[in-house]
Amino acid sequence: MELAIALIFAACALGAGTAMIAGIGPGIGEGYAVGKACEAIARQPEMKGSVTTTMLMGCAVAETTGLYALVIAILLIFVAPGILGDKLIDLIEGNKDLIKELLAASTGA
Amino acid sequence: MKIDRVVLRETRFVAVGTVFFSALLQLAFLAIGAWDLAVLLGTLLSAGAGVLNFLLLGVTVQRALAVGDAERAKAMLRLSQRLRMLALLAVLAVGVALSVFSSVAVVVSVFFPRMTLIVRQAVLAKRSRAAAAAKGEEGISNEDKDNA
Repeated sequence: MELAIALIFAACALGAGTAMIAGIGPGIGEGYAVGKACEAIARQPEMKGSVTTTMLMGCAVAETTGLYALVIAILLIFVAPGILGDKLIDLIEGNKDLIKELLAASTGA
Repeated sequence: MKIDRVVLRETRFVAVGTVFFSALLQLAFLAIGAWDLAVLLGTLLSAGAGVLNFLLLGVTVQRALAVGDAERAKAMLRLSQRLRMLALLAVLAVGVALSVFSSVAVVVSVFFPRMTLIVRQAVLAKRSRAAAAAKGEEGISNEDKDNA
């Protein structure tokens, strides 16, 4: 049972780490957008207010994907192991006889 | 450094929208009979962090635009995004790990600033479509007048 629970924890941690890869994208996208905004303001300084507003909206929306990944990672780290662990324990407790039979069959006893 | 008027205006708008959505969430919890203090605290923590995140984004954008150099601006925003994500991660972790806060309220409330912006964009797009349609009709009626 300990191995199964350890596997669940490991899978959750791996999943959280993989989900956080999505956090890289918004940073790159925002940086690119701000770079272009700098160029735009350099060309037309009188449009600074409008460009800043549009930039803010764009950056905030672009960041949403990173936020999704963050939430998924948090849920995988803090919520999923508890729920999955409990389910696993219930499953094992409910099928003790079957597990014993399977173990006996696998060891050839 | 003084915060730009545009940034403050947008942050105020986002804060108002977040308060509205937070109130809706409390009402939803009340309606299903699951409301308690943890829901309120979770909403306050997470929505507050979301609005603060937006304000910091605005300040970073303002500073990056003031720099003028595109490459430096890119680097500044990338660094800021990573730091803000880490800060948000810490806040969410505290909210989910401690039983003082409702996990559902914490997770849902962090999206309220984004939901406000999405609603705003939808409203602005609808308005601009309506304005374009009105302009088109005006143009057609003027053409009719010219033809007559």
